[in-house]
Amino acid sequence: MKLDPSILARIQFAFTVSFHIIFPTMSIGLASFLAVIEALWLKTKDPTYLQIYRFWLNIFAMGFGIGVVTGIVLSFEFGLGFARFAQMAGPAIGPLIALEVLTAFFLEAGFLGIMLFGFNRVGPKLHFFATCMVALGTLLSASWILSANSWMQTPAGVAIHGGQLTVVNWRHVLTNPSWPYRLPHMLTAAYLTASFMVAGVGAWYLLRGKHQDFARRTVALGTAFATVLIAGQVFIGDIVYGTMLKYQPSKMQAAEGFWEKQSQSPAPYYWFIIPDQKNQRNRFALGTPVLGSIWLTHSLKGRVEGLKNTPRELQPRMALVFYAFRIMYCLAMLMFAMGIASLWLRLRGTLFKSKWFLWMLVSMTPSGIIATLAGWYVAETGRQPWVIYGILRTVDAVSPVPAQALLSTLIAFVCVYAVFITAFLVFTFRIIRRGPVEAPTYAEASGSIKNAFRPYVLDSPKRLADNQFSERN
Amino acid sequence: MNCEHEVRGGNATDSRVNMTSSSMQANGDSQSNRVLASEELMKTSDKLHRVHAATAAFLGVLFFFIIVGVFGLPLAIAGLAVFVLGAIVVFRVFPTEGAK
Amino acid sequence: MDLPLLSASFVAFTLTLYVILDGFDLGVGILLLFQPAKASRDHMVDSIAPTWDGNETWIIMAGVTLLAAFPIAYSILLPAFYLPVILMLLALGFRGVTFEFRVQSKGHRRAWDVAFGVGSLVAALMQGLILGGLMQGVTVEDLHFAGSVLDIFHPLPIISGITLLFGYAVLGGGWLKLKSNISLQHFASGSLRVSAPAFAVFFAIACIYAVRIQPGVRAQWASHGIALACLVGLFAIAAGALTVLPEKNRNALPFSLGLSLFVVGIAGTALIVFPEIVPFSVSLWDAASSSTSQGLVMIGAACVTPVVLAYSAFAYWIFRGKTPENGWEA
Repeated sequence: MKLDPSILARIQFAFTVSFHIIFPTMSIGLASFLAVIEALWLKTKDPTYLQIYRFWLNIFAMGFGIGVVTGIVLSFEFGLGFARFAQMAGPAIGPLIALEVLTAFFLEAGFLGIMLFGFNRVGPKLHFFATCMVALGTLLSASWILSANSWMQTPAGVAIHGGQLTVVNWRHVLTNPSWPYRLPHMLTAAYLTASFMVAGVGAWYLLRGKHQDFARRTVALGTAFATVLIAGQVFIGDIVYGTMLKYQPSKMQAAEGFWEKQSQSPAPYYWFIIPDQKNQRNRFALGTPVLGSIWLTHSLKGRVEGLKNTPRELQPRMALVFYAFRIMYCLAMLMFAMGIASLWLRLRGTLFKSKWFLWMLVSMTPSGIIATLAGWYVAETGRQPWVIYGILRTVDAVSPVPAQALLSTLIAFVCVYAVFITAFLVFTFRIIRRGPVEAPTYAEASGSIKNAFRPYVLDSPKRLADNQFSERN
Repeated sequence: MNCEHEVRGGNATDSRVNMTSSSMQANGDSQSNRVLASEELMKTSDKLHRVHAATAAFLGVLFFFIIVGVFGLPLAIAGLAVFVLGAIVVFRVFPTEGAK
Repeated sequence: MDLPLLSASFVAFTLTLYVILDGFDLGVGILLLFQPAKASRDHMVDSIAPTWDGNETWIIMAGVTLLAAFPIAYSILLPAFYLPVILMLLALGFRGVTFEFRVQSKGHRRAWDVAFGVGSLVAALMQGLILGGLMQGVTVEDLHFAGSVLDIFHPLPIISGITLLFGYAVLGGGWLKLKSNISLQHFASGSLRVSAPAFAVFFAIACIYAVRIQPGVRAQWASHGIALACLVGLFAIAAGALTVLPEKNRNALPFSLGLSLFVVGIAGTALIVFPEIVPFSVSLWDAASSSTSQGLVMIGAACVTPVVLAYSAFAYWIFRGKTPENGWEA
């Protein structure tokens, strides 16, 4: 069997980067959420906020750790799987990622230790500062890496001489045409992810009738943030759409499911298609009439440009781009609906009592992650066959590594990452089942909040005897 | 009554519900008239509820279309601003149940 | 201003910091495999938990600086060391996630500790393998890698792997002597009595073998013979001191001796490698990207590295002194 190294290299990168993105998305959102919670706690001294902080800190720590180690893989994988891309793009994206490491990774890593282990070592204000620095680090990290990826999508500021790239204008490289819009889109996605995660777990507790204070607080906060964020996200998403339509028309052509150079007027909005890339047509298509013109051309009769506008050898695979986009977009609409519903229920005063709403929240706990992944699939599969759009094709970028090596390491990655995600899920569900613990008001950096740590420690008989709060319970 | 020793963190609501039902039992006959009247109220408020819900849904779809830019960028920005401000007003003016 | 030289110095700086800082993290991890008492293992992990992430970040800095400043070297070396790099990444991954996972796992703590230890061990081995592979030389044609991914599995890289394993164990033992309470001091001293001589012996074998099989190494010994001989001498003295040091001694000395071993070793390696970045085929200047890219990295590095070092030192200072016996929250 002849294995194609370029396909294997792509699958390996796709797998490792898809797995990776799940975790920074959570980390960026949760880090900022934790900063907000700690600020509220410092301001109000309300112990529920400390409870919320300690609960989500555990889950954040695990996710952050997996994000870091899977991220290290990527910084080397450019060279491992796509050495020719690394050689060419190194001068442009290398410095960007180097600055990411310098300004963001070190910042997160440096203060994470204090955030996780420093409760007894530093005062509350310094601890809060540490939390903020970690949150800032995640934000900076996203900024740099989005700049690098956006440069791959809309390259600017470089000159090409005999297969070598030279940067001529750093401002253009950094603030390339798509970055200013893709960055807020990604950041909002991360904050939305955290909002729905937090609200979903809170809703679960409300339905089970446990940890009422914790649950109400987190459902209220989560839905409030989600409502405001999804409105912003839908707005920014449309702007990203317009930008990518201008710079990567083939991507948006593939995303909408139209083949003909000019669609019919008015154009429908397709929800379900069976595309046939070989024959450049859809074998089946199901859509809402007129809605395509309304959403895609902002008019009642506008025609949409189809994928045949792009030469065949430069076309991305429609099936991938279309369905990734639909998943992301449908989840966005669902999130928007949930936002409206939450406002509606607040007006009626039944936010915590509406069972159907709470169940929806529970089922939408991972919605942010799925939507973000789908969005990234649009971005990356829609960019094909280019790895640097308009400059270098993916097939020309592969490393001189034999297919067998690629296959065996791909299998190794799948196995190891399977262990990571299984452990993460098992432990997260365990933390959720155990629930948040009673936390006393923070005194000083004297170790008096030791009882609030590590839920399992409270199970040991010695702790129960020592624990002054066992009487209160 | 039986409520006192049950009062614990998570069960505070339960004890409140117990006390309400037991105090209702204490009242007697005048209660049944009130129950009938409130059933009437619930039927009309059901209809009103449905109208309200439909309005909310319609407004939601409308805002979605506006923010997505169907009516142009300036209106999208305005729509987003109105939506966010409106949401913040709801958060502040309508406290969630059980809030202090 | 010779930018490639400056960039190469920065790469060397970040690699040195990585080897020293993550060296003792990985060393503690390796020693974990030999520690039967659960409470002691917890204590050992506690000593490195607050700062491991920052330590590990230096290797990302080195790799990414290579990408930015020497993309040709990056694109040759990574495919050349494809298998050990991936194994190292997976091993570091296991080590990293275990920090968080073992805390959550009551019943299977021992299994996670084994994962931690094995991950540390494999990572150390792979890093040594890569170093040995560098010394052995990489097949380059027309500024692209033209060898086989299996070239790395030859005697010199393997001996280097074992050397680095013992080297990190020395750093780990030294760190434990610095940070742990009485319960672990005996364990740490015992480990040093094994790892220090083993490190020296394998290091010597690796050096001799490298001279034998790689003409490039021979040439460097010929031109820098005296300097290298001095370094070897210093190495031997430090290793000897570590082996015969009495058990009760000043806490910082073993760690300092271990550090000096590494500084000497790195200095020697740098003497042999310079001015090639892909020994012994591609020079720094051949592999460098244009000055605009090098310049940006260097400006960024110059501005930000001092800040990074400052708050990293601050983090170490927060967790200074002996690691508390019952963990950070006791």
